[in-house]
Amino acid sequence: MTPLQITIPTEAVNSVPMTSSLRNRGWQAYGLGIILTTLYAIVYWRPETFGAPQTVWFWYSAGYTLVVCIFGIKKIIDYRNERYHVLRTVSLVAVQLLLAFILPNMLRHSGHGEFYFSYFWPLKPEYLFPSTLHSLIDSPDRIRVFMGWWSVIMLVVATPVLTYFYGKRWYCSWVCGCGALAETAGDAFRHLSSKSPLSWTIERWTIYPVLVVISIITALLWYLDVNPNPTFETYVTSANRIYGFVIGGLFSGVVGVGFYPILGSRVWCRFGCPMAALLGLLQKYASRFRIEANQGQCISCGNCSTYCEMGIDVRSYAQEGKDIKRASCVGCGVCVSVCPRGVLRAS
Amino acid sequence: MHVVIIGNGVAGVTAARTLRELSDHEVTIVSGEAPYHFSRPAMMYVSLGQLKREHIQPYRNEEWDRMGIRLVHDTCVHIDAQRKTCSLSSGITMQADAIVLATGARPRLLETSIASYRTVLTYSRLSDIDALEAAMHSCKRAAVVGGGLIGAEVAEILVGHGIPTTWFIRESGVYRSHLPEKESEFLTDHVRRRGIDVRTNVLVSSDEILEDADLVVVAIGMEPSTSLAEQAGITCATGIVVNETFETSAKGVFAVGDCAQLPWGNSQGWYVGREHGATLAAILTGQSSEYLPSLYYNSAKFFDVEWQVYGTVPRDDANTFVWMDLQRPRCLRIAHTTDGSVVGVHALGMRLRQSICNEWIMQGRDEEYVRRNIGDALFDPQLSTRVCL
Repeated sequence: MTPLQITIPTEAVNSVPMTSSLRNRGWQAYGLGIILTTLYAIVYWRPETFGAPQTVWFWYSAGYTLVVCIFGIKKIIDYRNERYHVLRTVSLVAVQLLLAFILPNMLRHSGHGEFYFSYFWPLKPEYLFPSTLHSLIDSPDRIRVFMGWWSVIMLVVATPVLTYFYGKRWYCSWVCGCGALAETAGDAFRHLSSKSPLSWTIERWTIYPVLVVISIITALLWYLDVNPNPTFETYVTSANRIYGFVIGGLFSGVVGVGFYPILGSRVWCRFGCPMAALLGLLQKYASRFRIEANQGQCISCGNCSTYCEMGIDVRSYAQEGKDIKRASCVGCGVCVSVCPRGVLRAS
Repeated sequence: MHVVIIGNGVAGVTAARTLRELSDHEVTIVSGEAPYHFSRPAMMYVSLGQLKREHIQPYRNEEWDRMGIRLVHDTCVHIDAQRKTCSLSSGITMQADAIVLATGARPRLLETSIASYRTVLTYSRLSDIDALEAAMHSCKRAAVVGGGLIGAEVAEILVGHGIPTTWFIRESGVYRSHLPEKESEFLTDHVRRRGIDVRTNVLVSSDEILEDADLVVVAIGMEPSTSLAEQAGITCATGIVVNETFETSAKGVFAVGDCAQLPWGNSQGWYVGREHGATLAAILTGQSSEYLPSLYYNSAKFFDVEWQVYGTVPRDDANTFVWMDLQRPRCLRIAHTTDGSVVGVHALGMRLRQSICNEWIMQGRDEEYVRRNIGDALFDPQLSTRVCL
């Protein structure tokens, strides 16, 4: 049969049929999953296989940015009729290219030290560690002082304010680098997220503990900064190293990206990211953001639930005419676009 | 009390769910068509390859147990309206205290005889997804007969699979039976641009009209399924005749949804069926005394253009305000009485907020007020292009 050419605004969701081997957990999906997982395992744990770790990391980040750019352009073309998606994809690609690739490398080369203006605590925990903040804020270099204050102000002031007005999407769907990859290269796999009540339970039992652990580590490091204790400090530092290995490496990279073709594109964001956990709590309890349901218009078709990358059963709310206010919603807006009856609206 | 519901479409299922919410009645749903309730308007997304079959089931399979609704996947072949028994094709007979007929509607067929080399299909039952898919495998050219919503869905599916398609419409344009001329013309143009060969004002009265199409999908309307009721001696006209409490001529036997004919007529569709089901449950549990239809609304999608209607919009241009965007495919129509109070709103390519539209129509706001405040009623996604009337 000829490949599908569907003319609804969300062509990206449909340009390769979801029943194809690649998008339906067939051998192609497993093949791609194994390749990605292996690649991540080597880059994270055995970079010397490919050369000097610094160089490997540079090329990894260059490759990551390139993938975001290429699939970002594809996404913009596919979603060209929907201004929300065009603008947010432009934002994601620009942030990744400028703030997460070009600028950090420029800063490193000019001796100010590598710094990512698009990542904050707790996704980048070290940005709130005493050692980092001392080395930034107490530095004679005014650019480094700016970096230090940027970290603090973005977390303490900008995050709650922006989340109050816009929900967690301002970060997860407009700024974040993990989001950038998920929304571009991962877009074809968004329907693979599990919608079962069990996975919702697992989600709550994994994501919040990660936030708690990193909060405790950070708090202990600050306690030790005020009351030095070398023996205790070795414990906390090794706890942080284990966190970095399990959460930063295994979870966000190897599983988070490597399993795209099997578990969907937002596994890390849904089950592991402490930033998403924090923003989610703010979104649920201190935000105006919600997805509105248009009274009785739902025809229970299931497009919204199927294409929710965070595994939210959107339909179960929409068909009851209830607004959706869930901590995990990253506000990607795809449920709004795939709805054939104008039932949903992010607001 | 044991309520047996025949049919697991939206009317029957909503009746069952609402009954369980409002009471402890024992509820059984019998369906030969599908083991679990599915969204009929979503069938096209399965045919398009955008959803899988399990995605169009609004409730998880294990939820039926939790709701306390018994599902029987079997065909009801006979009901006894006096004894309140239902006989199933497997030989089982079920005893009920009340029977709800939610048997839906079946496609009307062409009266013209069609050459045997053409595959002739309709598109309304779950099994039609498979039949259409099989037919599309070998299809070189397809014809769709009928300019309504199902015709539009099937045309979109066929073109989506790259099959050259001719669409025969009896009226002057797409969905003209419900739409004013301007909107119908606009949609006809839009559909033509998608590569469909639309033939308007054509009645398929002979086989030759279909030219070389090897697949013919007939979508010329649906008629209420009344055979089960008729066999049981229940009064039927266009549909199963019911009063304002959905009771048929047989006491304790009710009919809802596409198959029912209320004192003011038969009306079909998802929203109507859902409202019937919910209201019947309220009546059976004593929460409501009779059915008063809420303000009419409906929606559909023609390729990428959504359509919504609230209230009454006449098919001619008298007493209406029409706005057509010159830049993008969208338009809005506000229908009012001669003294200016709004009776209906009609939107293509834009989304409106149901609660606001309802409020305006119920309050009979004047047309100028609605135009000036149209921003309040817009439900378009954020960052969409603004509407200024």
